[in-house]
Amino acid sequence: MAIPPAPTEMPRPQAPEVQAEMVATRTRPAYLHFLARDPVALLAAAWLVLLIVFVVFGEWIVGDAAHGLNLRARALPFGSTEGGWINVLGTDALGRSVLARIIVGTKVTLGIALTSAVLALLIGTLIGLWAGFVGGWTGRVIMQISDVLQSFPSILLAMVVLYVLTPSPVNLILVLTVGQLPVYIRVARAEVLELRERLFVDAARVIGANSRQIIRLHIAPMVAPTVINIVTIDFALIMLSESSLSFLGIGVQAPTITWGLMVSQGKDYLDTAWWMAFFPGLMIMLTTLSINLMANWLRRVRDPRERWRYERAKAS
Amino acid sequence: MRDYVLKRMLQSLISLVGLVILVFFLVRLTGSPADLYLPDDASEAARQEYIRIHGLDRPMIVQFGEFLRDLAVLDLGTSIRQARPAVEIVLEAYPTSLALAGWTMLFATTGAILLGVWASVRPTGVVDRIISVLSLAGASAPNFWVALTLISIFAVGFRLLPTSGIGGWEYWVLPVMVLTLRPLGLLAQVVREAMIRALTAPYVRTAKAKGVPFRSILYVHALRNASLPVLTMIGAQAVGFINGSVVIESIFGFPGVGKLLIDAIRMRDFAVVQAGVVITAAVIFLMNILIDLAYAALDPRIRHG
Repeated sequence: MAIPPAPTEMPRPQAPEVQAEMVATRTRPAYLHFLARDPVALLAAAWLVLLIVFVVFGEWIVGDAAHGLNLRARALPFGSTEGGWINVLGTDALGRSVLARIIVGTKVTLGIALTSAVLALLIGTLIGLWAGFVGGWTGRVIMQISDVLQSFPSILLAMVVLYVLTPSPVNLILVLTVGQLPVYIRVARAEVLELRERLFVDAARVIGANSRQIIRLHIAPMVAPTVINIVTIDFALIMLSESSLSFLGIGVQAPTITWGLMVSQGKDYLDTAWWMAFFPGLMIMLTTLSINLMANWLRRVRDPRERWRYERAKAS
Repeated sequence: MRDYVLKRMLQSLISLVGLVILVFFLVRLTGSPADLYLPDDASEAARQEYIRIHGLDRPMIVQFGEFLRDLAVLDLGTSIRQARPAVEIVLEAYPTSLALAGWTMLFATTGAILLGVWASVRPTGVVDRIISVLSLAGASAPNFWVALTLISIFAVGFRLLPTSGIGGWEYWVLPVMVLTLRPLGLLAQVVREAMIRALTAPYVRTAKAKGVPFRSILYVHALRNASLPVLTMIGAQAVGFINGSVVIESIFGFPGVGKLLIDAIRMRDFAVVQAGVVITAAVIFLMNILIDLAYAALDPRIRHG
């Protein structure tokens, strides 16, 4: 394709971000193709799809078995077929199927983690963008506050706050979101500090764009990939925090079901009925592991160098 | 270098003050200790008297002023539950938690270096893939669940180890094992990444050309250069470690700071919560300085820059 000759006064080397963008579009990875060739990532993806099915149809399929008490079927052991396949993972102290409760609990467990992760991403990034772009003492105060939040074990702060506010899913989301804000504030700010010195921001300002337009149209799209990369890992971390708090009894309260709460309820029967605590905990681990595996895989597929190394290893 | 450390110290100090303020007011919002320590049928007069004795009747801002005044002479108040200085109680719990942290970090770091280096020798090889998935699994496992599972296997099932409490070495095996898992998994990934990068550096090629044995290239030349990101990760894990020990110490009935703080919050023992927070923040503060100094020791660019 013919390129019109550049006028002499135009700077010779192209702005780096333009180049980067061209390269990125040219080698956009074929995600499904790579997924099919990576058995571990494929397994992780299949697991997450299964969980989505649980979220959507769980209550509808096994809702009765999860909530209905059946004192005659109390503490049926793992592998039991008494009362049907649904009791294959055993039953709890009130005779409710552990499997059914796990399936129904998926929705709240993932819902709380997902809501917190998305809220932390959006709010944290906005604050970070603002702190970085405006700078000055407002920026410094914001950073100092996020430092305070980050310098202290989040579980203890969450405990105090949940004792003040009384535990409920909404307050839990609030606590988890606030706890993760500093990560996004810090990352978004660091990116902005670098980006706002770049040529395209100056250019936008010269043609008369105001601060809000510059952030929204020029800086935010550049920050987005970084923070989205972080949120995938963060999601797993939030799930672990939520389950810890529910386990300690200050998170979600019965009769709502989450996996962390199920482990907590099962811990009193450790010596007689290990399956009550074991399987919900296993679900937490398999899910966070799958999310982490997918996050790693995504990073690998997006990074041309890693992809090249991977392809070469496959070929040899 | 000195300016950098001083600046970091000042920043952490401001954070510490902010934290103390936050905790002071938040913990008082959880409710009055009188509701917890007096019997339900206590008279209103007794209630008022109790609150007055413990200095909780005055406006919060006055209480805060007094707290700051006492803090200046390192007096962090008296525990309402045990009727002795809060600092004493917290300092009694600290050695246990520090020993727990020390053993955990020792095992996690050693294991992570061995696994990470092994994985980095052949990236995307079979060993690498297995180690990667295992270390991710270690970092993904909820520690309270690992604790319960290990208790049911080793303590309830085989009756090899005690379920909880403190005493000889056998009481330390399970808590240290559980707490090691997550840092081990996270650190192994960092070691692997850093080693892969270090092994492609020109100085490694030079060493190979000179005929240096591969083992010393790995553990001397590359590992030293890969140790900076690992150090960063260890520092970042310090706060996360306290999170973990709060849960694990409660499960194993381990008399450390984590359990002390969680109990103090539950029992509205304000002075102990404050003392615990102040001292913990100070420990994290000291650790950050140590890590900054370790950077300088490892990286000549920082030392001379």
